[in-house]
Amino acid sequence: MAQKPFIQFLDITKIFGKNVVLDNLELDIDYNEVFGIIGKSGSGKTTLLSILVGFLKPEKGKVFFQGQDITNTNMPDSIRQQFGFTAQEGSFYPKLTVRENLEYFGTMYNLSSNELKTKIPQILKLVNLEKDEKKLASHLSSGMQKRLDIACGILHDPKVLILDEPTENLDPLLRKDILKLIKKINKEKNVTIIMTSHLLEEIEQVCTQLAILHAKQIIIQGTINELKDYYSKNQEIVLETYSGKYEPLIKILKDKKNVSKVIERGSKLLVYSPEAESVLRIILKDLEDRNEKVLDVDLNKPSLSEVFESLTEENVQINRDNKEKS
Amino acid sequence: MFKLIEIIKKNLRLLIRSKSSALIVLFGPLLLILLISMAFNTSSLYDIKIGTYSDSYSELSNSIINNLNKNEFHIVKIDSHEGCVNSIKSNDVHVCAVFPADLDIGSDEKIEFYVDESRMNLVYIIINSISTKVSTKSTELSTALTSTLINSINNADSQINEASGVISKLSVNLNEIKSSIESVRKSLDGIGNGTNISSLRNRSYELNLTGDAGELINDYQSLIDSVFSETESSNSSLNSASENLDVQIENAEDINSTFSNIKNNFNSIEIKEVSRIVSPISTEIKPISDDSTHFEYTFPILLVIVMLFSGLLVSSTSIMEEKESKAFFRNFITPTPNYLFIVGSYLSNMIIVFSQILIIFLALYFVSGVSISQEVVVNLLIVILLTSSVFILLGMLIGHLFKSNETSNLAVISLSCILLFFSNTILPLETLPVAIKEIADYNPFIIGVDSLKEILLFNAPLRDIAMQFYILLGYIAVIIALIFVVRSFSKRRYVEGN
Repeated sequence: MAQKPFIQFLDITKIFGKNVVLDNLELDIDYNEVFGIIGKSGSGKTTLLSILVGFLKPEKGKVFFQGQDITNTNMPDSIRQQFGFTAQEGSFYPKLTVRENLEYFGTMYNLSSNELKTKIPQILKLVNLEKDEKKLASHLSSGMQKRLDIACGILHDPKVLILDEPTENLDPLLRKDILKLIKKINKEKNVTIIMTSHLLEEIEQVCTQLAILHAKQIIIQGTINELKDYYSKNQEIVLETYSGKYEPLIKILKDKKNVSKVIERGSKLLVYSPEAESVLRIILKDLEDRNEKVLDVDLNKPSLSEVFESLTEENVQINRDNKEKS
Repeated sequence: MFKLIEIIKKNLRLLIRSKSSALIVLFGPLLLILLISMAFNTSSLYDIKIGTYSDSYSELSNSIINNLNKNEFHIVKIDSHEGCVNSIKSNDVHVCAVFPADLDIGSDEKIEFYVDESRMNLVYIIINSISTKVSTKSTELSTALTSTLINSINNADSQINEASGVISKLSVNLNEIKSSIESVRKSLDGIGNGTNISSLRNRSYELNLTGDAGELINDYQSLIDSVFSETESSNSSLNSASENLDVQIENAEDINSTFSNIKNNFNSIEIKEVSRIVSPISTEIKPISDDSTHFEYTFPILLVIVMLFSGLLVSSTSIMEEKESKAFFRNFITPTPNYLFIVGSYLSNMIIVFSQILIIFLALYFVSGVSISQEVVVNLLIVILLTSSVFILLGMLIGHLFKSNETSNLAVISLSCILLFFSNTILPLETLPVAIKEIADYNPFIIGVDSLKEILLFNAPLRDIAMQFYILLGYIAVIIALIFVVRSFSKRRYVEGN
C-alpha cells in the first residue's frame, strides 16, 4: 500500500461570493520538502495556505495532514501546533520588542515560560537577531523584520512552516539572506517548508518540489528538474520580425503536429517544439515567401521562468480571440 | 491563564508604547477631574449678568434691582427695551428685566424677564434664582401692607369693644327708665280708675248741694275731671314713651348684637401674624443630601462620562489596531481559543478604565478632599464594573463591526452622543415624549448615573438598585454574544479583504 502524502489537498474548491478562487484543486506535499507554490498575483496561493492552516474552510474537498483530515477552521490545538506561518506582510507587533514578540507568540503556541527561556535565544541565534532582542520590531530593517517574522513562526517547533511570499519587497541581498535562512531552517530543524512566490529564481534556488497554481488549479507539480526535463523535450524558438505581424505564420504552425505551443509575447513570437530545427526551417521559408524581414531569431532550452510563462499564458490564438471579443 | 496574562500584558504594552495614547489614558481623566472639580466645587452662580430697562425707574424697581445686585448677579442698566433684549442675543447679558414705568405697589403692570431658551439649563437656574430674589421683595411689600391692615382691624376691634360696653349700659338704663314709666303709668291708672274718687264724685252729684258746699263740690268735681283728663293725657303720653323706649331698647340690642357679630368675626380670624398671612403656606426647598456642591452632584455623571468615552474609545481603538495589526492573522491561527482573545481584550480595557477611575478618585481625594466612605466601596465597585463593562463591550463590538478606524471612531462618537443626549445630562428626560422616554430609561448611561447617585449621594444598599444591576447584566450578556458573532464575520471579512 502506497504511503499517504505528508500533506494532501483533495478536490479543494473555495468560493468567495460569486468568485471561484480554487476549483477542484489537488496537491500532494511530502515530508521535509521545501515546497514552492508559484502562481500569478491573485491566483489563490494565500487562500490555499489559509485553508491548510485552518483559517478558511473550503466549500468542497478535504485537506489531510499526516493522513488526518484537518479540513476545519476549528482544528484541534495539537494540529495547529504543527504549523508555523509567516504572512506576506509579516505577522508581529511593531510596538513590541523582538523578545516580547517571541514571548507573546510562544505563549500563544502553548510554550511554557521555561521553554521560552530556552528556545528564544536559540531562535534568535538561528535568525541572527541576538543583538536586537530589545529593539522594537518597528525599529528593525525590513530584512530583520522578515527574520523576526520567521522566528515567530518557528519558535514552537512546527512540523510545517508556511512562508507566504517571504522575500516580497526585499532587495536582492536581503532576499538572498532570507533564502539562505529558509534552507538552514529546513536542514537544521527538519521542517517541511511550503513557500509561495512569483519570483521563480528564488524558487529555483531553494525549493525541492514545485507546483504551479493557475486557473484555480494546480496545473503541474514535480521537482524543478522534472519540470525542466518535461519542457526540455521542447526547444524554444524566439522570433522577432520587423513588421511584428505573425498571424499567417501562426496559422501555418497551428497545423503542424511537431509544434507544442505558440505564444505571441510583445513583438516576439515564441514557438515550442521537440523538433525545433525543422520547425525553424518552415518558419524561415514562410517569412521568405512573404518577404518578411527577420530582426532576430534564437533557439534555446527554456528556463523555469519560461516554463511558468508558457504554462500560465494562454495560447496565442485564444489571446487573439479574447482581444477580438473585447 | 498564562496566555490570558500574556494577552493583557501585550495589550497594555502596546498602549504604553504609543506615547500619545498613554498620555491621554493617564492624564486625560486627571486633567478632566482637576478642571471640573475646580469649576463646580461651589453651590453658587457666578457672573450672571442681568440687563435692566425701564422708562422710569421707581423706588420699588430700584429696590428690586438693589436686591438682585446684592447677590451674585451683576446688573447692567440698558437704554432701551429692544437693546436690552438684543443684549441677550449678543450674550452681553443672560437675562433682561424690563420694569414698568414708575412701578409701584398695586400697579397692574408686570415685570418682564426675557431669557435665552436655547441655554435651557442656565435659564432654569437663573429663573429660579431671580424668582427667589423678586419674591423676597414682593413678600416684604406684602408684609408691610398686611401689617397696616391687621393694625386697623385690631384698632376697630378694641373700639368696638368699648362701644359695645357703652351700648350695653344704655340698654340697661333704657330698661330701667321703661320700668319707671310703667310704674308711673300704673299709678296714674290707679288714680284714674280709683273707685273712691269716682264714687266720691257720683255721691257729690247725688247730694245736690247748694251754696258754698255746692260750689266747693263743683270746684272739686271740675278739679277731679281735670285730674282725670290730665291723668288720661299723661297715661297716653307714658304709653307712647314706653313704646318708644321699647324700640330704642331693641335698637340698642341690635347694635349690641351687630358688635358682637363683628367681634366674633374678628375672633374667628385664627392667624393674626403678618408673616403667616403673607405666606400662609411656608415652603423651603432642601437638598436631599446635605452640604453637597455642584461637583458632588455632577460627580456620578462625570464618572459615567469617563467610563463611556474611555470604554468605548479605548476598546474600539484597541480592537481596530489589533485588526489592522500585522499580527492579527497569526493570532487567528495559533492554538489559542477565540474567547481568550475577547476576554484578554476586555480585561485589558477594563484595567485601563479602572486605572482612569482610580486616578479620578485619587485626584478627587487630593484636590477636593472628598473621600468615599468604606461602606459604599464594594457597591460602588460593582456598579463601576458593570457600567464600564457595558461600554467596553460596546466599544469592542463596534471595533469588530467596522472595517476602518475612521468609521469605527465615527460610530463610537455617534453612539456616545446618542447615549449622552438621551440622558438627563443635557435635557431632563421628562421633556421627551413618553415613548422615547420609556426607551431612554434603559440607556446604560442613565442606569449607571442613577446607580452611582444612589450609592454615592444616598448610600443606597445594593438591593435598592437590583433592577439596574440586572439590566446592566442583561446588556453585558447580549453584547458578548454579539461580539462572538461579529468577530467570526470580521475574520471572514479579513480573509476576503486580503
